[in-house]
Amino acid sequence: MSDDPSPDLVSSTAEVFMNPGDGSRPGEITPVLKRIFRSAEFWAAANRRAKIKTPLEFVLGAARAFHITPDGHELTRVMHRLGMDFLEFPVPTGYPEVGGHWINTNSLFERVRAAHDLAHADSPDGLSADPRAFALAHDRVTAEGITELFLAITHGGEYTEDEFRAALSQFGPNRPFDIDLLPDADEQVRRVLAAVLGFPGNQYQ
Amino acid sequence: MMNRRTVLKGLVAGGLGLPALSSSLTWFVRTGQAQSISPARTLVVVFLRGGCDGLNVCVPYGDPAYYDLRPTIAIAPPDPADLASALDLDGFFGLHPGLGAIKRFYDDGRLALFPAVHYPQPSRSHFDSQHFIESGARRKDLEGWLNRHLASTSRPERMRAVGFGKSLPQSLRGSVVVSSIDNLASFRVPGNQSERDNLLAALQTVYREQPSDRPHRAAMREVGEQLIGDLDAVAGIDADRYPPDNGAVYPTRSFGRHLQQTAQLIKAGLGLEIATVDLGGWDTHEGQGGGQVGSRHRHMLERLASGLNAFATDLGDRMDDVLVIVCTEFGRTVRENGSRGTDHGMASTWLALGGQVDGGQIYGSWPTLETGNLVAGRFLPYTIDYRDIFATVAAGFLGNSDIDYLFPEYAFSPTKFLRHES
Repeated sequence: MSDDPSPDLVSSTAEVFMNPGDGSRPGEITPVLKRIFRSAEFWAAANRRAKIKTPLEFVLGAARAFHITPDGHELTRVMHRLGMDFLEFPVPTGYPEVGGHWINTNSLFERVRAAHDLAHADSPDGLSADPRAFALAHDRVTAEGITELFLAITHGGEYTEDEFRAALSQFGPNRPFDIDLLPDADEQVRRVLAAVLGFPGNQYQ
Repeated sequence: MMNRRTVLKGLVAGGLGLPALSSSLTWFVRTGQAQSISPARTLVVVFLRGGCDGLNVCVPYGDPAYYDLRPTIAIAPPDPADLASALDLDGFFGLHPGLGAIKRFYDDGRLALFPAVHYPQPSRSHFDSQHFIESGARRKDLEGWLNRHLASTSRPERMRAVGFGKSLPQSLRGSVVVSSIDNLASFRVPGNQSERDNLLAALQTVYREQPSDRPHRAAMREVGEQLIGDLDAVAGIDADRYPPDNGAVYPTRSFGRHLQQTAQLIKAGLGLEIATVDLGGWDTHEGQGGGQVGSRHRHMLERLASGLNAFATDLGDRMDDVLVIVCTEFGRTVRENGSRGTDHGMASTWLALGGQVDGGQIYGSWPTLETGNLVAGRFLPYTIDYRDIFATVAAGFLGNSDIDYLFPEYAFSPTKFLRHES
């Protein structure tokens, strides 16, 4: 819920871990998660989207949300560039869960690049994305409608007017967008998805 | 002094580095901060991560205990007929033969060695000891010392510092946002020129408006704006087609690439003041090997030496304004272990290379390796505190006299290895 949970919640959850008191045995995870999910802090507005996605969450989040067909080799290659090797565990404490580690220029830059690669993936037998078909499946055919859909999914519904306009601008200027007639409609929709995935708003959990 | 820092923090928070604002900010910095401008110089800190065995870098072949304690991994005394033997430095110390490529810098007076560098109450954890050294203090709560240097001085440069690698090292972490770049050649947003400009403009907008009252947003804004400023600063550099000067040949893989791209940034005239480069793989608990060609430690040292040699060759006379410090988090046990390796220890060898180094010398007294002189009978004690090297660099090379701020709670005694110092 946060990189900095309250000490009270940490200690009360630790107490549940040791003495669940609901018939579970000490050390079981289910009552621990229940304690967390039922806490007021978990639902507090201040703790909404308060953590930074790890590269795993960034990549798999995009793949799941936009039905990007996974290809193990490609996904692990993208994750390596993002600084988190898939299924690896650097000694001694693994990959950091706290945001400070992932907010640096190289990491943000690689996310912009990875967003481009994910949105443009079109290998028929490997990693592939079809954001145009995805938009059509959601009955979105206008530039505004598609932008709105992509932002709603990636930004937890809380995007600003400027973010909307910045994403919309990726369609390119000076012509009406037509998802059926424009020969480069597919490329334009991919560009918008790439931009939105690379925006800071998509880096928050 | 606090005033300068506060002003600079304000500048950073206000978006220093944004292309659209850079010209007006440059003007402001030039007029407001003129007192701290010094000639263009670049410090390159090479960190050997994993704990490099300094006893087999600057080899004390004149110390008989060295051979008693290292029956299979010791480097033989200098012998021109033996390619696995040490390269004599001063009749007592020799250089590991794998470092042959940088011996000439010792001979021409630009390479200095510090064979026993460390700090009091040391940690033998890789992570902690790296963190302490990079923080300039045995503490977990401080920013990196290089970042404190950036925060306490200012120069009107487009790109003052860069950390080469996938993430920023502790030494550059802190209030001043510094970029980490793994490969300059791919440090550009995807697409053709107009798509690139279009995406950069959009990113600039959305980074800039990250609100301050939610977790991580302020950091996201500052780092994002730095990213866009740095992408703009290096946009004209073609790292794919870089011909090194003077026939220099860099080693392959990331270490060589990072040194080459450091040289390229220096030549590009962006005002690069600090670069950090890492070389890992020094944790030689087993099969460390001695001086033989193909042995593990020798292979690592060859990579280090070929990189430094290429860098200094490429930069030529520019090395007069460049200083390379090679450091590591700790040395290794004096006695080799049962796996023909060495374990985590204390003092190790550091190196300094550059035109301003008063080189061809070995700095610091030698503790000697008799068991009674070792800490707990196992570890090489230090005779130079690493902070004296860093502080000498800060005061004598970077022109930062605020040593108390850079190295808190430390009484600095200069290690006079730079030529300009009195």
